[in-house]
Amino acid sequence: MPILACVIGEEFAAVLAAAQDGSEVAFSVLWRDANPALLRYLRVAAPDAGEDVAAETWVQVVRGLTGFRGDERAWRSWLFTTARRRAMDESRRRSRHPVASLAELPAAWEPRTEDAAGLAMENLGTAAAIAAISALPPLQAEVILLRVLAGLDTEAVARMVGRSPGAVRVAAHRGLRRLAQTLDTAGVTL
Amino acid sequence: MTGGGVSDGDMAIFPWPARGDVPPAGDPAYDALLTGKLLPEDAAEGLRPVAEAIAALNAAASASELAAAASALAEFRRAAGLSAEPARSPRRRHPMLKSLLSAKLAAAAAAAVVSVGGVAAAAYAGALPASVQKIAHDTLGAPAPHSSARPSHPTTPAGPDAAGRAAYGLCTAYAHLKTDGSARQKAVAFRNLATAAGGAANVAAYCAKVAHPGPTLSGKPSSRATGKSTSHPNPTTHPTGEPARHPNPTGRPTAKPTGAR
Repeated sequence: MPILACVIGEEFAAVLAAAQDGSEVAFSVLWRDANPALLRYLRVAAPDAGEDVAAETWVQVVRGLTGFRGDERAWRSWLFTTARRRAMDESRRRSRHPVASLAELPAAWEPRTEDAAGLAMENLGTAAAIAAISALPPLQAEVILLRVLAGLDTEAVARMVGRSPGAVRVAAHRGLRRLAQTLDTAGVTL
Repeated sequence: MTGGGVSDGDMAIFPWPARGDVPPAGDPAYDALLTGKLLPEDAAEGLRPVAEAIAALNAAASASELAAAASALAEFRRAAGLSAEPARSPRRRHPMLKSLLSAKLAAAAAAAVVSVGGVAAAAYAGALPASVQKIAHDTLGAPAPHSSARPSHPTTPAGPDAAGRAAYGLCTAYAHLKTDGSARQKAVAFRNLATAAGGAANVAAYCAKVAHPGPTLSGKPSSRATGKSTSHPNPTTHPTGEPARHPNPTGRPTAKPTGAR
């Protein structure tokens, strides 16, 4: 039973309804449940921009919140789909303006380094696991992260990444197998 | 474990043998890993490091991963307030950044209010739907919702200690924001306060009797005190005590990295 994913469970519908009704506590519950998983996914999907992309994701999500209909699985699917699109936007933006974006935004960049350092200090095991997974081929890494962190099944991940369920399943298994070999030979202790 | 061989040639360059067999792709163990059902202690030796990595991936949130809570909440309020406004184009960068930066400033100005005085105090005051209050109890450490099945305290909306603590938070928050806060922050703080006080007209009287609740809540004799309180190692996180329903205070407000699972 994952600690991060799907912790709201059967209360989800009530929490979502309260958040859509404007309850700040209910929104905080949704945010606290999902943001750590989003950040961990984005450390691979949007390296060096995870906090920004997560913040942009939430901006979009809160604006669309009242129109959202669905269960917790659909909610997490929406969140991570939004984050994934934002990460792709960000990577395109950076390849178009690689220097200007850095030079323009010193204030926005500083906290991120602190946060990254904070994560490394606070949770070495998580940082090491993310680093090991990010060394996998991109599709394998993304599929594993989405299945584990977003708690989504093969079909939902397949829709998100635009592949067949069979391809997603094979990518996940190959990625885990490769990870097993890497961790085993490296003697990594998490 | 089945699967026999690690056939990849690159394994041979390492001077030590693999510690265990790694199953081939297609093995059901991988599906169990992906759904968090295969714990490290149950995993075959060859998959144990991966099971540990998956567990670490799902480890409890660190403080830094929850640090943007105030900014997110500010964005939530802004969206609620501006829902009639046409949506901004997602391609425009600068409005986004401005909102992020202003959210950070707002967070700096009102961090205590947002994280303790505002949301948590509203939760402490019990002014929420029961199911939401239960989640707030689990994730923020606020009191549990009041069950209608509870026999002996049918009328009190919250324990006296919890009310005192919430009142202190709400009144202090509003006092700070009256001088330093934005109009929206003032409005939110006052609305929370008025809810807790039972109406805007009661706010002055409500705050007039507020004293600092102090570091411990156990000094005040309370009819609600029960033998259950000895099972709470840290009673300040559970002011009302809510007997018999929550023997383990699991939902701590600052999820510390307590290990894999």
